Order: sequence, then structure tokens, then C-alpha cells
Amino acid sequence: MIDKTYGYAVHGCGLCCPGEYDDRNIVQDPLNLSVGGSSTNPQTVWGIDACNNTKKQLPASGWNTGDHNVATVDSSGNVTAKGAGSTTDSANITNHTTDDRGYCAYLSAPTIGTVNVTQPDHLAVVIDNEGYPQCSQTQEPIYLRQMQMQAVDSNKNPVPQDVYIQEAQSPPNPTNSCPSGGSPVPSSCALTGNVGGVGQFLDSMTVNKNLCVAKGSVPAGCGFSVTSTWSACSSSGTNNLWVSPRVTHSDSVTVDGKSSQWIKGTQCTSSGCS
Amino acid sequence: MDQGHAMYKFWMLVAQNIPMLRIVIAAALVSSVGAAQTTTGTTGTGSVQGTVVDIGGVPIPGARVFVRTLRNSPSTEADNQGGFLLKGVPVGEVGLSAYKTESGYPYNIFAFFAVPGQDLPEVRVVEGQLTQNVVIRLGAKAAFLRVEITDENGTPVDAHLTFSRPDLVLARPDLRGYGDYRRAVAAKETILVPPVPFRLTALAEGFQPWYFGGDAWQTSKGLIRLNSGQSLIVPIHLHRIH
Repeated sequence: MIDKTYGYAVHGCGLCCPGEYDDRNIVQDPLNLSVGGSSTNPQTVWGIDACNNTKKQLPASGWNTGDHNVATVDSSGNVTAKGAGSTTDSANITNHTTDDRGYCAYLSAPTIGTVNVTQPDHLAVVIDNEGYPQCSQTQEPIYLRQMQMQAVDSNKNPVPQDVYIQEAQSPPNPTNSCPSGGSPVPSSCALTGNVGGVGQFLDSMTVNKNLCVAKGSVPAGCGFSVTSTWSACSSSGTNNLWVSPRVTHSDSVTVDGKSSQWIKGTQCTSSGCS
Repeated sequence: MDQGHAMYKFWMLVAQNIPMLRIVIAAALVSSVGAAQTTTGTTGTGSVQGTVVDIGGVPIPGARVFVRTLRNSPSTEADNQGGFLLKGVPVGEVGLSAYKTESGYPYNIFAFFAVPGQDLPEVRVVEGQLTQNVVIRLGAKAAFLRVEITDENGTPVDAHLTFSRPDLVLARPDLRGYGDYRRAVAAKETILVPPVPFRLTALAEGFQPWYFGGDAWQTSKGLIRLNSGQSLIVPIHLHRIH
């Protein structure tokens, strides 16, 4: 047994220094974020007390990241994703450990983790389905095609956090030949994730915003043609994710030239689905 | 738009010698065109508060509540007591629904997913006001249908499935089957289906159509009948078109 304290520590001889922590690590490592996103919880550093083998959160200071173009971190450990890529996040803790002479000494010890930031690149099909919605007996349903889509990165991996996306139309106000149908209104910039899993959203295609209308008010075959462009928006960027020509009729909906549904996992890009 | 243009020409002819009337009519027509172009926009919203319960009236925590009668619907998640507060609901009559897939309540916007015992309310939403005490009763839990689709060599094939419910009929012969629900599936996939009789058809490019029940698919032998929570594996062997 070695006496590490050499008289100036109060605990006497032992196998450890009081305040000595092993296996120090940043809890969220790697931390996976989407561009514009932030860590849900602040980063913290934990270690195992060398004297009693218990895990403890350690006071950390000097939070920083290796590349501020990829991510930044504030003094409390909150990480914000700035751009696609990978970098480090780090903090210093004060560790009471054995020095070269065998004395217990306080040393500032860096603890380093990895931050991966993903940019939405395109979309993938999760579910493509269609039919008539449920309406009351006194009304008539409007044919509906719904595509549940997933924002993915350039490697086809789902984005790790919800992202902001929006829809634009060309022409902006397509003429709808269905009575009272009006021009379709594209989806405004909003966060994904209100359906299915992280990074997912619904793309709903019909000839009328109301899915249940007065009986006999919508003839078969009426509708409009439009090209929808889904893109990142707000803090998630501006890049186009999916450019999709559609023919939306009261009894069928064609998406990217296909009137039947796209299979799960189909990748949809600026060049369409394939 | 054509009707609007004709109206514009007519009233301009009437008003061409009455300057004040011309101004008033022109302003009214501009307003009218603007309104026509925004028929799909939102003019105001209100909120709806209520509870999601099962067929026995027991709250369903965590169910996602949405407006089933609108193309783009706000949605929210019920709390631990099944209670919900849905904000940003467009004014007017709206139908509500909810789902919780992991508990056997599938996303049910399509008529195919209507089940016995459900009570999906329709409520009137007033701008800036809260509609209270709405109860969304989800009916019988779904059954589980697993399809395993292969070609003659046993190679997995993705396909398009059509689910048809003979009990759902829309009195519009010019529109496609009301009770039909179409969905693309991977070669092996499990789908939540309602515990009511339905027919199943599989289509894949380059293959002959497949019908559950084979040649007797239009008879009672072609109906799949499952109870809530029950599972059925359906092997689907497709044959190429030669």
C-alpha cells in the first residue's frame, strides 16, 4: 500500500486521492444534432470516484467546441448546431490525482466529446397511402393521398432532431377546376415531428382543404396540377429537399408521375422520387 | 374565375357612366377575387378541450389528437389522463379523432379504419373561443395483419395493397370505392387493420394481381375477419406476367 498523501492531505494513506475521478466523460457523447437545433439538456461531465467507486457529476468549466462553424456551446454546456459536420465539445474539471512524484495534486483535466451536426438533404417515404376520409352521413368525403415523409441526410440517415421545413408551389396559385376548391395553400415553415418519429411530417394532397363536403358538390376528375417544392427553412437552412410535380384530382392523385403509392424507403430529392 | 370576369365586365358596363358607382364596384370585385383566392386559407381559429377514451370510457394517455376533416390539421398529444387542448383549430364545423398506434389504435383519417364502438365527434369552433368537454371515443382496437410477399422463387417483392370494406359504400358510382384503402408496403410488413371484414388485393409491377381467397375472392371466402388484437400472417406469392 502506498501513502499518496505525504502528510498534506487529511485522509492518510490509501489507493486513491480524495477528489480523484476516473473514467470522466461527457454524458451526451456523441451528441447528434440537426442544423439549427440545440441540445435538449446541457452537457455535463461525470466521473467515477476513485475512492468509493460511485458515479458523480463533476463541476465543469471552460466549455468550448473545436469548430464554431459546426457547433457552439455556452458556459452552461448548452450546445447549438450551426453547420453540417463533426467537431468536439470539451470542458475542464479539476481532478485531484497523483503527480509524477506520487503526491496528490490538483490538475485541470480536459474532457472531450463529439458533436455531429446533420443537415437535411432530401426526404424518404415512410408511408404512402390514399383513400376516402371518414365523414358524417350527411357529407361526402374528398379523396385524399397522404405521404408520411422523413427528412434524411446525404447518407439517407434520418435527421437526429426535428427540422424546419416548408412547401412552395409552382404556379403559386394553380387553378382548381373543382367548385369551391380554391387554390391549394402550401404548408408554411414549421417544425417536423408532429406525426410519426423525429424528422417526419405529413404531406396531404386533396382538391379541397375540407375533407368532408356537401354531397354531390365535387365532380369526379376535377382538380389541379402543381409542382410542390419542400425545402428547409428558418434555422434549418434553405436547401431544397424534394421537388415534386403532382396532379391532384377528386378521385386520384399522381405524385412524381406515379398514381400508385411509393414504396417505403423511396428517396425523394430535387430530381423527384426514385 | 370565368364567372368573375364576366361579372366584372357586366358591372363595368353598368357603371361606366357613374364614376362613384364604378369605384365602389371595382373595390367590391377586387375584394371578391381576393376572397376567392383565399378560400383555402384560415380566417380565424379557436381551441378545443376534451378527453380521449377507449371503448369502455377509460382515458387513453398519450393519444395524438387531430382534426380529421381538414387537409392540414393541427394536432396535440393527450396528457396522462387522456385530456387534451387542441389550439389553432380553424373556425367552423370540424371532426376530431385521435390515434395511438403502439396501443392498437391506428391513424384513422381514412374511412377504412372506422371501427365498431367509435364515436368521433364533430364540434363547432368559434374564433378565439374554447370548445370544452369534447369526448373522442376510439372504438375497438385494431388487429395485426402481416404480409410476406414473394415471387415464384421466394424472392421478396414490394407491392401495393388495396384493402376493401364491403360494408362501406358511397352513393357515388363515378367515384372510386369509398371503403378502399391503398397503401404501398415492403415485402414484409405488419399493418394495423380494423376488426371488421375486408378484402385484400396485392399488385406489383410485372406480376399478376393477387387476391385473398383466390378465385373465390368475391365470396365470403375472400373476406379477412380478425378480432381486436388478433394477428394473421398472409403469405402472398406473386406470379410474373409472361
